[in-house]
Amino acid sequence: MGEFIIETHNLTKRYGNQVSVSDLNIHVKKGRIYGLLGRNGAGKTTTMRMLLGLTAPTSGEVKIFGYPMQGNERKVLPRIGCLIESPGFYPNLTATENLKIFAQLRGINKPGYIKGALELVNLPYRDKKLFSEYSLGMKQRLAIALAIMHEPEVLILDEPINGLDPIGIAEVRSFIRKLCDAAGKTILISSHILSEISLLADDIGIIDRGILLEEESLKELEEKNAKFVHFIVSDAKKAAQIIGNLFQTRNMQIADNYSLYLHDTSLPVAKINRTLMENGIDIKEVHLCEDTLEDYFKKITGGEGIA
Amino acid sequence: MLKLIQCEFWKLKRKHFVSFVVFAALLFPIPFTALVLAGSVGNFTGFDAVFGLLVTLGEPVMLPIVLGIVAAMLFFMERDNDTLKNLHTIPVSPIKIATAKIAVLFILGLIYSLATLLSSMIGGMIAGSELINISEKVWISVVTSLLYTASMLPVVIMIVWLNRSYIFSIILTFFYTMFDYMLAYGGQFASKEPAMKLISNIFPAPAIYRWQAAQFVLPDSPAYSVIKPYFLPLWIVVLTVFIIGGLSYLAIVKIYSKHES
Repeated sequence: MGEFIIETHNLTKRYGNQVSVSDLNIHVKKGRIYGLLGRNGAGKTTTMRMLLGLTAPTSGEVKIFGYPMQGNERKVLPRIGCLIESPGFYPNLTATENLKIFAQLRGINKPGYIKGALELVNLPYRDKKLFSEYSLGMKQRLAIALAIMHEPEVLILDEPINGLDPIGIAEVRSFIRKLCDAAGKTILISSHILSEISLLADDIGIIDRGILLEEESLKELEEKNAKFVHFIVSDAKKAAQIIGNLFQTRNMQIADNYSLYLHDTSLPVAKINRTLMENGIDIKEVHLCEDTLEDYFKKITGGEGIA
Repeated sequence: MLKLIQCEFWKLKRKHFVSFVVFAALLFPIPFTALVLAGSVGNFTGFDAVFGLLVTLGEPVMLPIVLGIVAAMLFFMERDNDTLKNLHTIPVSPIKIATAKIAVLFILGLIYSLATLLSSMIGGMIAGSELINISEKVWISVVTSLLYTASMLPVVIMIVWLNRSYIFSIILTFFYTMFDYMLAYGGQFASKEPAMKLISNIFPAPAIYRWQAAQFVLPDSPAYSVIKPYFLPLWIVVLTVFIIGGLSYLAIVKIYSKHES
């Protein structure tokens, strides 16, 4: 097994003439959280289904723990926990009874596993409430409990915070982080909620229309994000001339009569302020700004932002 | 496989239809006991009469219909609840899942049949007879349940293949069972018409009926000489139903795997 726990080689899925996922190459490192970010319909779920062998790829290969998934399902799948799309359980059974079925099929006989998994997601053990009476958030928690019950090395979680309330989202986020940091799990998580990915992931893959546009660590992405100084002044054009003459730079952008963006952040802002004031320019505000992940997402997908 | 079968039973928890069916099996002998008490069952009396009526007239209709409905519940369960992905990622193969579901049908058929035997014993006691030849009746109950469960597997093929609603499955099961029943009890196996003869040889109920007739028609009764040429030994019936059941099993497993992969 190389550096990567999960890797795909030119993974492609076509439905007739429609390409759902195209030549996807993702690389998930051991002990890290990989966030697959994309709009609804970008191909995240199809990718995850192919990783788990639930959907056969049209071409390409999935390797998990160094084994090609196809033909090694019995070796690979027991080491993975997953949550794909909506939670699927038997509505006439309680949470404990549902987990008991899957524990039995996984060969887990100790009741402690079920109890432990339910406690981790804040669901009661041996509660009488049926799955059909659960709220969406409780269903989602149960699906997470199922994913972690057998203590897998890898978790593949498709939109795990769907349906959770803000407190639930924070709980699940910290719980996922803990699984990675304390228990050393490798986690692949998909979401269309950019803030969630930026708060949780160590590495990010941006997928759009089935194509992986970018794959980098969050740190690298943050370094790539554009930084600039935003001046709000009485005369932006005149201010640009003064700064240009003073520092011999043209790395600026005049947004309107009063806004000026200085892209060279290495220049001394205090000196600029003083010079502008000496030349009769009123300075209303000065900000050090940085593009957000959303700005970056918009830039590389060439479209609208994401939730 | 045992684990899978156990899980299939767990999945039926709180499905009240299943317990209702077993309860119905216990109630079914009431009208037959009334018939026996009224003395309208030919040469048979008491326990023998109630049991004979239940095994030859009750079970051939009730058991396939009940099992058809349970089959629809079992085979639509994963589709309706989106649980197959959880099973695939364990991993459990669709072939094993389908096999476990069919095994559950056989076990439920057996429970139904033994419940029928139990209630016929109560009916027999009410009719005032001694409970004799119990082991023979247990044997007949077991064989009958296995044969009728296997005989309704062709309808499970249709349920799985068409993958439609419960109502559709119930209608399908009802028509299949009634057609099969009429072929047997209408005596179509004795027909001179080649097409009818062929159909009554393909469908399982006529073969089962011809074995049951050998068990229940008394040699000194008027019907005996008429039906005797059509008696079938058990091994021929088992072979016929085994072929029908076996081919149906293969088809069910193949269709289910294709649908659910």
